[in-house]
Amino acid sequence: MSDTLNMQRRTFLKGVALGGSLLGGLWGSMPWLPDVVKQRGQYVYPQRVESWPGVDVRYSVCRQCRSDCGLEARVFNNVLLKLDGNPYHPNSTEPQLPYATDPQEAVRVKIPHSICARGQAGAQTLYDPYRVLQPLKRIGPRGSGKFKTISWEQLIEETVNGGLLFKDVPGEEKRRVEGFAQLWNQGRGRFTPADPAHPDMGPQTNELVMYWGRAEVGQNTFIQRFATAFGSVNALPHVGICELNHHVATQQSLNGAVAMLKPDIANSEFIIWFGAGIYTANFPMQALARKIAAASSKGLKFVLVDVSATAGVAHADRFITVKPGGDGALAMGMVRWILENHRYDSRFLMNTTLKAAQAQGEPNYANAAYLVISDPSHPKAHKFARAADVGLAAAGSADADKYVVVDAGGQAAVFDTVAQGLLWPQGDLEVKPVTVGGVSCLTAMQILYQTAQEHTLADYAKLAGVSTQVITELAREFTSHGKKAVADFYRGPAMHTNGFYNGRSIMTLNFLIGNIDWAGGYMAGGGTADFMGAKPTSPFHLGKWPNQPKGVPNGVKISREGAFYEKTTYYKELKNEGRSPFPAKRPWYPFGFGIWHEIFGGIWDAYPYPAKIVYQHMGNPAYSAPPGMGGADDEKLPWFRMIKDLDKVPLFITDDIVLSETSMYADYIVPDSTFLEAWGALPGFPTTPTSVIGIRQPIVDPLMAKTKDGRPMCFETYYIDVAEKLGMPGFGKNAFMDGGSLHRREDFYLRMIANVAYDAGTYLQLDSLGQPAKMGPVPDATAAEMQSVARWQKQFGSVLTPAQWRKVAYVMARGGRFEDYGLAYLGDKPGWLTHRYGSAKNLLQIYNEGVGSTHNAISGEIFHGTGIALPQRTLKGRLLDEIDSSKEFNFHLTTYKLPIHTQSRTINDPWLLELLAQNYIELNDADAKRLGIADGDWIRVASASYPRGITGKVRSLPGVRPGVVTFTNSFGHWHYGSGSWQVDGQTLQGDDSRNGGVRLNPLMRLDPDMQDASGWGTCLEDPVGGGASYFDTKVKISKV
Amino acid sequence: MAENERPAQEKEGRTPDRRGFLKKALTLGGVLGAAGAFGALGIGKALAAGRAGEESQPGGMLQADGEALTWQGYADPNLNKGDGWQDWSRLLNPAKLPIYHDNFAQIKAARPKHHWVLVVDLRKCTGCQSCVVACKSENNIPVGNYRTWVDVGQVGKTVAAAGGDVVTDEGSYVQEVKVRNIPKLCNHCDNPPCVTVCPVKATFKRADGPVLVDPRLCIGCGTCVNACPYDARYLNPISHTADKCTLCVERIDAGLLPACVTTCVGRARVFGDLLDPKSEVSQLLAHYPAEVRKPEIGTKPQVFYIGLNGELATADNPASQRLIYTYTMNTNSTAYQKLNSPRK
Repeated sequence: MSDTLNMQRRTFLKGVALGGSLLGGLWGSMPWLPDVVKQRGQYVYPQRVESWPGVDVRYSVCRQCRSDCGLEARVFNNVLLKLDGNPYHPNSTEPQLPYATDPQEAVRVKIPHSICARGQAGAQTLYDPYRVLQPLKRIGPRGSGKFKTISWEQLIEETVNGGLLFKDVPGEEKRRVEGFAQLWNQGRGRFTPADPAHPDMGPQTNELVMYWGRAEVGQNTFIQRFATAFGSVNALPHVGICELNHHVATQQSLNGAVAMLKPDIANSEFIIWFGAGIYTANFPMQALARKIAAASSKGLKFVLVDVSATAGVAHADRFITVKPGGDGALAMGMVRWILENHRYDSRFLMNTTLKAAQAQGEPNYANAAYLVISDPSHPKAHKFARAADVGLAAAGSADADKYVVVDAGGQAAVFDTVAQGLLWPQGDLEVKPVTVGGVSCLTAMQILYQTAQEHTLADYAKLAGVSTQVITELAREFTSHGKKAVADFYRGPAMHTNGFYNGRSIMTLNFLIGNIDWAGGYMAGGGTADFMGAKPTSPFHLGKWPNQPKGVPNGVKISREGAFYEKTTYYKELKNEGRSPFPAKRPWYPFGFGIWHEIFGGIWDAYPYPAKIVYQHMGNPAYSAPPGMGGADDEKLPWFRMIKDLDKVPLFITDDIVLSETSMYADYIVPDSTFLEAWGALPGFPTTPTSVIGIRQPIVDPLMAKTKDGRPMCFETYYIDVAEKLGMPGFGKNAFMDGGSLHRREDFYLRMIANVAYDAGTYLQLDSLGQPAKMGPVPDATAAEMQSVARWQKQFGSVLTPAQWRKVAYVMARGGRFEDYGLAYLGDKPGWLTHRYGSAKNLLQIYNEGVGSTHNAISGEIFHGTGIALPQRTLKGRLLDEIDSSKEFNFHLTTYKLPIHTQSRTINDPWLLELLAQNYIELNDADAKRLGIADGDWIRVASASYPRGITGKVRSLPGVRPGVVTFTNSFGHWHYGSGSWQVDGQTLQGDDSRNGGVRLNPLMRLDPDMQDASGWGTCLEDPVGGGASYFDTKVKISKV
Repeated sequence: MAENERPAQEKEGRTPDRRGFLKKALTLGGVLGAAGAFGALGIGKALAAGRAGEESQPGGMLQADGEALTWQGYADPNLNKGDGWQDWSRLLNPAKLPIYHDNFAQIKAARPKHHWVLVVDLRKCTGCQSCVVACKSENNIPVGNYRTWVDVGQVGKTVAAAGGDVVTDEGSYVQEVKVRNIPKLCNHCDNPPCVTVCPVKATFKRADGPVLVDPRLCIGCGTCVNACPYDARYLNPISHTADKCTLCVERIDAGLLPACVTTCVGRARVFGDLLDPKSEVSQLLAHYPAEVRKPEIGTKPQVFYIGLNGELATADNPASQRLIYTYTMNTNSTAYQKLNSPRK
């Protein structure tokens, strides 16, 4: 075979040599005429190196994915030559350069300072020939792809003042569109209820719904500033279609705020990653990959639990496939085994307070011993017993609200009066309630064990789709490394209808060995700078501005996230009428955030109020989900039905860098910056144990057109001009607490960078005794370092004082602010990390009373306070297995990521596209053999909610779990600078090579409980976290 | 179009396959004059002005035969400055080190100051393709061609087995699967067959290790491409000269690391001087067994692999490597071709 291949190559080369040698001979006869070569093609020179005169090295932050790695950009003559990693940034470099290093030395470093393939290709995102660089207005029906270029002034005028904006479009002759001015109503809109019957839903300014697909820190605070000043609570991220349930499970296992922990890979001995996409994605992809590769080459053992083999299998010690959504069963099986074999750290878990824990050398504590009221008829059932509930303190006394434990002597006690509480007050592994003050209670640990007992190990194995041995072996190994073992997870276990509980169960494994805040354990990572300037030592308080009325904005978000249904007037009305408050019209998600499908569901149902103006920043829902609601050029899918409905979405404005599947439906498109033309301040991730913030700055002059006064057209400039026209506070003159104005985006971002430079509380450095001490503001820049801000000083000199510029320059010359590498492991006690979750008296929640006493607003069920293994269900609690029969739908649809792409927005980079021109529908090799499907065959995959199915080519892989059908994201576009569209009457033909491959998202199951009579509906959702279900759809396949 | 039925895209040979591109480039002969005329910036500006000029439709990067290849490097007039950068003599050999067209055994006797090598530590390669793209960006490699690439393959099979870890309604299985990532590039051989065959002495080995091509001398005959047993050379479809990895010679001469090493996410690629016993490459080779690709043919490769399966070191045939997929090199395999064949 090898010979055949070589023969082929040689044979054709011979032929070429013949034909080519004629030409070649011609050129060869004139080698002294290099111009001939030049004319034949652009001459192939390497790029100028960093140290070449005229090459400017500028630091910024990547956004080809959400890892926010530091960039080193080589710029020559205002052209971006090459992107590399910033050697000061710990995502890109390890160990990163000491922060004090002279930037001129940094340019010449001989150590790797990397960014990934996606990042490298970012230059092609900037220079995409299909960039949108001028404002566009729709001149045909939504989705017709007919646009005209308009002036900036027209864009502002029309979107602010509304009117008969589309009178030239057939069918819209008389449609009067409300602009910002109508909602604003000279400022009165902020105080006029959207729905007078339910004033708690907020004012009519909430009818401005702003959401984004990607806006990180800096830009998202800018969007929030606009929404807040306008009076809308709706400035919403995309988390619900990303990894939301992972964050909610983490938060509700911790203090409600910390949304992610990561293993301290460098010091760990054993790590289990459940569906975490290591080596391909996750936070930050390259730092994780680098640390894992280094640690595993030195002895770290790690196990990957997934449904198909991802890149990390290359170095994994063990790769286990589970049934999609079976991760929680595997974890709860492990919990049960660990409890019954006494492999948990009871000494740690019995501590009742941080003080007690610290006395034992522990950096944090858990609520394992706290008593929970277990009597279901008690008015405070499912809540932690408080001292006043059980007669340990008088109501209203200082101790009344304190938790209760059972002390070593078997007596109930206020938690902070004893150092330890019993985990098993009724005897080892005994789950009988204990009666305290007449109230029947269980410890959090008892509830956990009671829950774990719901299935035998054999049943857990069956639910997870593994052998019982897998559970016991993993549990034994996990509990054999002290605190140097971690069970981590990401999107895989999380984005199911049972995703929150899967995550809760995995988090619980870590609590049982008490590994949080330990070197080699589960860590919260370093801190970050006070970029919003909330602290008094920071120069600019950016979260406040003059003339913002108190209580604005208020009400409930259109996605009903962050709000308890039980507290609404809707709930109370029904209760008062003696009717069941369930089901609510749509679900409520007190714990979730950024729930796209519920933004769209809220818009469709006008619940709790209608949307009037929908503004989308950097997003592409037509392509990138929510599952089942979009993802193909099929206007019958729910998202398209919504966006085409002029009553439900009267005005749809997007900003974008190309004509995407979604902006094709926009009424107005605001040209926007790519990340290489934008500003931002990007904190680090828990993967890095030291404090991090990277500064994003435009590294070349933005390509977008400019306004008459020379500002680049982008979303910030648009918001500023809208706000100024309306006279909103926080923009224009007197926009900052210092009295300064906000007319250029830099007025905002330069202040933000000054806050970073002056941060006095977060960053540590070694003092003269070698002890970690607070660093205070950064030093002043040298004259050479001032060069890093020269181009900004020239344009925006008056924004900062000369003293502030010197600090800002020190930061910009290094691409951000980074704590030195050596500060990671200087905790108060040996083995403790320097930056700890537990430092702020945070505890670990074996049982969460907030979750455990909240209702599913659709089914009325009460959620569970600990981890639990649950099957996949609809919002009404019906079993999916019983709705879509396994006999007919005998495969399970999942997705995965490649290291070369990010969701919807990297297919326009030819360097990435050429690596894989199309993706495939992937099956297990044994399944393919059984079904007689060969690689390259076409098959149709269909689901109950998309019976017409989608066809594509198959390849079989031994890494896909039997019974699973999967595909990688990012392919199957139809418009992303591809396809055709019209601008000013001329047809533009895009690059259709961007459209290769297949995308199976439309197959993903809509929740049958949430479909209306017309068939419109939202995806399956996790009732607790609110995240979309990507991996619970059962499908059937057939050969085409 | 919900259904993925796009027959127009399924034309044979549409896959971005290195060899396919080479073929196209060669059949195209000299029609590429205008290929680089649409500098990305130029097109952007056309759209910015709101004009849909006829030139603003490059029509994509992956072209069928007979159409212009789009040059994705930055052929930008802003870069054509007379600042001395664009001087091949300086780029290829600024210190005027001795160069060799044959008699490579003499290099040692000439006592060069350095002996640059690359060690690829497969225990750390994550298969991420960062090196591949970095090389393209640093060196302006035309779309469809590579100086370095990373084979990524799944090796193994699913076996029905009672008591296997994987339990389904249909039965139990063992999934014997491993992912293999193998970066490949020019080996900068100490006995490079590609150099000796060059009829015009355009290609040479520099005393400190790199095997280089002087494009001013190259006649594009393809003999060296043919002679390389590692398939590490290609004919640049823009310049029509032989092209290959240079170890980023202009970077190492400036005291910097090659682009692929600078950006290696897993730190699997290690560059250094074999004559310096303290260098990381010397240390790695002293402490770990290393292999080279196809040692049996006597080319004396100077790219060393730690953790390379012996069979894979030699085999060039994707089928024998049981590579299930790869992003790049393996696109010429029968299995891959079949995957990309037109719909029946």
